[in-house]
Amino acid sequence: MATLHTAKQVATAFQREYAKTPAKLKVLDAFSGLAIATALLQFVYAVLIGSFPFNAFLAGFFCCIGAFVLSVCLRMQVDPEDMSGKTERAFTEYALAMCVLFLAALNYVG
Amino acid sequence: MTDASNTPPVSGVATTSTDGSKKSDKRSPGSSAASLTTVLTLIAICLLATAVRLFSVIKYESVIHEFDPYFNYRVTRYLTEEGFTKTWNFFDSFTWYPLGRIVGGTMYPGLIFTAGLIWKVLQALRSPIHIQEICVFMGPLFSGLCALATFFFMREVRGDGAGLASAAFIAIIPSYISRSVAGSYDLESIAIAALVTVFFLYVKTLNTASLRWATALFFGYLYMVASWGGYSFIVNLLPIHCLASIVLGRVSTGLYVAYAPFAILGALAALNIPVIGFNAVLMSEHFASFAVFGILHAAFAIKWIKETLPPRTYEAAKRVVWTVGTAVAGVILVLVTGYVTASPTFGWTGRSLSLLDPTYASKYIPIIASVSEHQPPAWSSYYNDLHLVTLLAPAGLVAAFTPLTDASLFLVLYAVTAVYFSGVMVRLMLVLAPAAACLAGRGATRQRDGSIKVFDDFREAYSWLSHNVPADAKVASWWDYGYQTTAMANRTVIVDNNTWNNTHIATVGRAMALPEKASSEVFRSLDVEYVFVVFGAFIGRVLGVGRGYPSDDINKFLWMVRIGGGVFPDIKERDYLNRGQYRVDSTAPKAMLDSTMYRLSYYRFAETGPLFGMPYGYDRVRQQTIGLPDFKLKHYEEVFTSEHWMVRVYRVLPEPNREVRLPNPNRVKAQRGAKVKPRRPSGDPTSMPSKTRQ
Repeated sequence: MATLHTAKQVATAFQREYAKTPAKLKVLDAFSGLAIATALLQFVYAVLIGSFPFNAFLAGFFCCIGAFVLSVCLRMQVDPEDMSGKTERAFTEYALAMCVLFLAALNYVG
Repeated sequence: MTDASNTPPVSGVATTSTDGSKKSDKRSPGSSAASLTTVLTLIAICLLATAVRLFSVIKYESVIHEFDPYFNYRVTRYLTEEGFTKTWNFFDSFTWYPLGRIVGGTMYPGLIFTAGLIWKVLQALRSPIHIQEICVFMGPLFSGLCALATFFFMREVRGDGAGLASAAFIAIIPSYISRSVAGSYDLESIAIAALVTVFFLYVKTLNTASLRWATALFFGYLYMVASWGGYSFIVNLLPIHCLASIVLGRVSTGLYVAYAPFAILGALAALNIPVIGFNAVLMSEHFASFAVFGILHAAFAIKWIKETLPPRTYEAAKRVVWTVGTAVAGVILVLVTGYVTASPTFGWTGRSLSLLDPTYASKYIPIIASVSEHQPPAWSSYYNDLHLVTLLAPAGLVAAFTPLTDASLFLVLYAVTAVYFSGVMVRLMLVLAPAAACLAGRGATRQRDGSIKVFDDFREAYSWLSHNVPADAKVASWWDYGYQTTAMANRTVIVDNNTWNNTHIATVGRAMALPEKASSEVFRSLDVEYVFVVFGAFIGRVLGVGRGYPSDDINKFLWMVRIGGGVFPDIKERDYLNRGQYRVDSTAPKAMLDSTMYRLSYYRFAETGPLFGMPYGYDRVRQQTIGLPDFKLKHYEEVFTSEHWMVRVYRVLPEPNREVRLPNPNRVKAQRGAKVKPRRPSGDPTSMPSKTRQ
């Protein structure tokens, strides 16, 4: 019970602090969260209903996780506290990397 | 970057870079433009790397060597004839008769497609070089590229000077030369270049923390997984480095950008290659990368939460996470352990398991244990294969810690793991070579050529087979020669170097161990018409260094017995040994002397005359006089023996040879001075025998 109480406290504190992050990063975070949620959904589906064809499941799953990872990379590069400048370049590289990810996943979906 | 990589190296280490002026006093050593001297030296090193490997081609002829290259060459030939798409679906009915082999799904396509692409480009440029020439020169070409990659790798780690020295070392290190010499058209000849390239791209991404290098890393790794099974070394080394970085507190944006996309995109890349397929997520070799992926995210999450929350709340959060996190982690651990222990090999493939437990193969999989390259190396082979680098590398290892950057930490881990694995299997000396070269990248060295002595008996025999044996005839031999037989003799074989079907190999092994009559029945059941053995005693012990020349079938025979006996219980190893000793002289047991391998190897051998005062039938390889010098073959007919008796081809007779007198158990041998019964002339009624003899 004490754990639950502290958890609630932590959650409220976290929400308060998180609200201070710039909107740009919040959008990226939302997208990352969506990607993870989609991956989770696919995983649950595979466990409950079946993973045939396995390569299609893996392609979709890895694509979502990959999108999450790349978004987090972009967030770290664009974060004004970490590194300064070169945001445009970071975005172009991000777009390129996403294309490559989708290409790899598409090739595997079958 | 937050780590202290700006301090110049300790002056006690001899930094004799070839252009004399470079010191790593920059933030990221690889970020400066190279000077003209550096560029010229680098070009010279690449040319040196290529030139050193052309020795055998210049002295002898442009031909493909060894065994595995012949399979690669055959598939490449098919590629040039049929095209890329058809090669993916290539089903080989010429081998593993009657099973065949699904080549498209069991080959590493990198080497073959690269050669095919080069051929296509040259064709388009109106330069019709034959595919064999391209295949022969792939090794030298890629070793030049490997030197280039090594330069860039060490440049990232330490600077131009170290880069040049390392490139020079890798260009001439013997263990790499022997696998990439002109004519060695094998996976390792491009895979080592790909390996070092992947390492360079990883370290570059680490240092620059940019996604474009991460994308380049993906393409480099894609080429690596397409090229060689040794990619599993990378997919474990990088997680080890990531973990070590986390433990040492070197968590940074660069680490995340370098590792996290690699783990996911790399897995996708490996999945796309048919020969790996689902193994990329189901086999234990890859679990480390996923485990560290999780740990990395945990580390970053902790870091981020720590930065976001005020200190007291963070402490409270830690408590919550501990209780919940351990429970979740426990559940996952139970699931993974359950999955892993359900498999008899704990989810590892046989080849990887034999690396972790060197005794595994000798106990359970004789076919893996029997391959000579899989044996542990002797201490001397470290010096023979690495030369001066052996002495300089430890110094480089120590120097890598002063100062310790992310990149130099990577190099240290690479070298340590490579040393461990090369101690398990001598063929992995090849993986150690670049690491050792990089570590030793601080001085100069000498050079030693490795040349290969070639007897042409093999090609003579394959040529004979291709001209004198019907096109659809099946040829049986030990699996070592399968690829060469299909490629050069162009005949169907039963087993080949792919060794994917242990029972099929055991069938051939058993046949070689059985007496003539039984073995001819086994061969006839496989539709085999011709059998050949490789025999080395006529020319005596062959000179060679390391993997230079294979031993003959009599020396391999015990492995045939073991492998055959592993599947068929009627073959027992102890029947072929004399009190635990492997002999071919008169002390050899009956099973050994009756075995088909013995008979086919030593048929007519004693008739070849005594050699230098030795008795008839003296086997120089085993240094014994053979136990059964004179015998006739009843179920086989010798049809071809090459010039130095190295390859001996026999035909399996459909019926026993009637020229040989079959033993009549009732016959009484005539003795000298036997009395001859006086007979009356025929027709004499008193001397007519009761039975008439025909």
